[in-house]
Amino acid sequence: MNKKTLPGKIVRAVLCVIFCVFAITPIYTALIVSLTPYSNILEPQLFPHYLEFKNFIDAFQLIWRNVLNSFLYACCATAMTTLVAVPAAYVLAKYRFQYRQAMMFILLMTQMMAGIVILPTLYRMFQSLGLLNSRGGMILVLTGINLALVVTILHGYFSTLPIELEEAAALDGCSYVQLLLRVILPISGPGIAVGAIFVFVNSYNEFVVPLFLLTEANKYPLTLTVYSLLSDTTIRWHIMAAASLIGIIPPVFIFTFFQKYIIQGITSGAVKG
Amino acid sequence: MKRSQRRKIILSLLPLVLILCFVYGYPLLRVCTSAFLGFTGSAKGQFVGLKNFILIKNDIPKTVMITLIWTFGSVIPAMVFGLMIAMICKENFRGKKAVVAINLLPYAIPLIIVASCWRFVYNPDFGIINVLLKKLGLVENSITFLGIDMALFSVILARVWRAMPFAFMNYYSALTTIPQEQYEQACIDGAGTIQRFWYITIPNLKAITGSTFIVLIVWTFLVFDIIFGMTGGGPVNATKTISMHIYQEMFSMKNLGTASAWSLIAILVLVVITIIYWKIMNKEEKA
Repeated sequence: MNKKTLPGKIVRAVLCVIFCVFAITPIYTALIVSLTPYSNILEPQLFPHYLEFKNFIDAFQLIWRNVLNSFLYACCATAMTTLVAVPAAYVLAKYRFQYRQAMMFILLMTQMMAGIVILPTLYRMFQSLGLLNSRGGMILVLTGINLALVVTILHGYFSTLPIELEEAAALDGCSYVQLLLRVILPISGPGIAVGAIFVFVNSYNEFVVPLFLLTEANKYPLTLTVYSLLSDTTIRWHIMAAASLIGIIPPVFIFTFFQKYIIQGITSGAVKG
Repeated sequence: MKRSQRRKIILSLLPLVLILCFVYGYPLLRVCTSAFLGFTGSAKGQFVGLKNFILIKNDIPKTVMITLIWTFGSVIPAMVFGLMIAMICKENFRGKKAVVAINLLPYAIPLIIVASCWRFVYNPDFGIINVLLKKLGLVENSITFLGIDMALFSVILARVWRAMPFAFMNYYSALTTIPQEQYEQACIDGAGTIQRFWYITIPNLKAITGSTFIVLIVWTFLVFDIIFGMTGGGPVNATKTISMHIYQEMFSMKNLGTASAWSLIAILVLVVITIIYWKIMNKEEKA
């Protein structure tokens, strides 16, 4: 439209640099610390003085089981959430029935609810059901807190599908399950992908739920292990930094490669800030 | 409605409803009852009326104050900075893709690792801010960012860092939907940059500003991980928001009653904000 003048370009460049430096600083600092041997940890460094890659090996040996746990919880929660959300979102999008609005409101409510307000009583409930420290219980809660998000995303997506699809399928003698599996699922790939990406990252990043529901260290997800490093009496800063950096690789990777889907998800108004 | 259709609807919604009842329904019900039960004598609890609220009464004013500062102090800057970076990225320039990717990055990082990373930044010995300030000769002794005077500001800055990408993305995609003709027409009419921003950009961003603001408020005011990982609510309760109270009543005091009392207060706030949000969204859909 209009060409930027030179001063305009300079202002833009300066602002870009400031914002990018702000966004990078914490990760950059963690990188410096993670490359420093423990004996030199208190040395002030603006640029890395050391390249102690051994820290990463030590950290990896300490946390790899927890990373696997995180993956297990996140994958199971993603699969379960999608499985439950697809039929629910479909009927909410395609049919008008009595409690539809109420359902939508309840979903919004659960989405607004932070885990911390229900976790004390959920903890007691799990205690009396003997579900503390159960992986299945953990996955069920992760599914519950992510359902509203996926239903909302899919609801928006399904609303755009023409109703003729269903009528045609009915003429061909498709049952409802067949309709969902053979007709709706294949053309809903992008919508389901957006939802699944967010459930996976949310579950991988979740900290408060396992903090309440898990006490056995061998079941800890990565986030809880990072916290236990953080709360040690003598903090091993170098290991903590390396563990943090290893831990952010999966979500950062996903966010970088699926940026298009992420932006779609955020702007669908269904995603936590 | 046909019977087969009704059965289809019920069966499709049943798993969803069951899971939500299990994860939210029953625990919420228990929060509402436990807030009025005492758990000192028995684990089951007996009715004590408003005693739990009287117990936490003295902490309420300070906690509400800290929670408000924490919430608005991080949401407003996050939105202002998010809008700024979105305005910059609206136009095409070299390196734009990298700028977008880098400014989206904090959004991917688990909140507890946000806490650990910022503890590196704030560390008095090797923290990069102190190192820089000392190198530039601006301070002689390290600033204790997580000390009693600065702690609340420091955790807020970490939250701004994490919330900015959300505001940025919302504004970024809202800006691309503003019809270009409006700007062209304004150019022909001789409007300057500032006038175009004031008369075209701002009115077009009203809706997205409202919804982003509400969503960020709701999700910020009960954020737990960042504060828990950086200060644990201290020093001397300087960063003790409502969510920190809930945790500490539950696990340090082992009192489900007072923990539920704090929870109930938070839930009431959540319900009010959700209703407001619901009204706004429905109005927009109809408009």
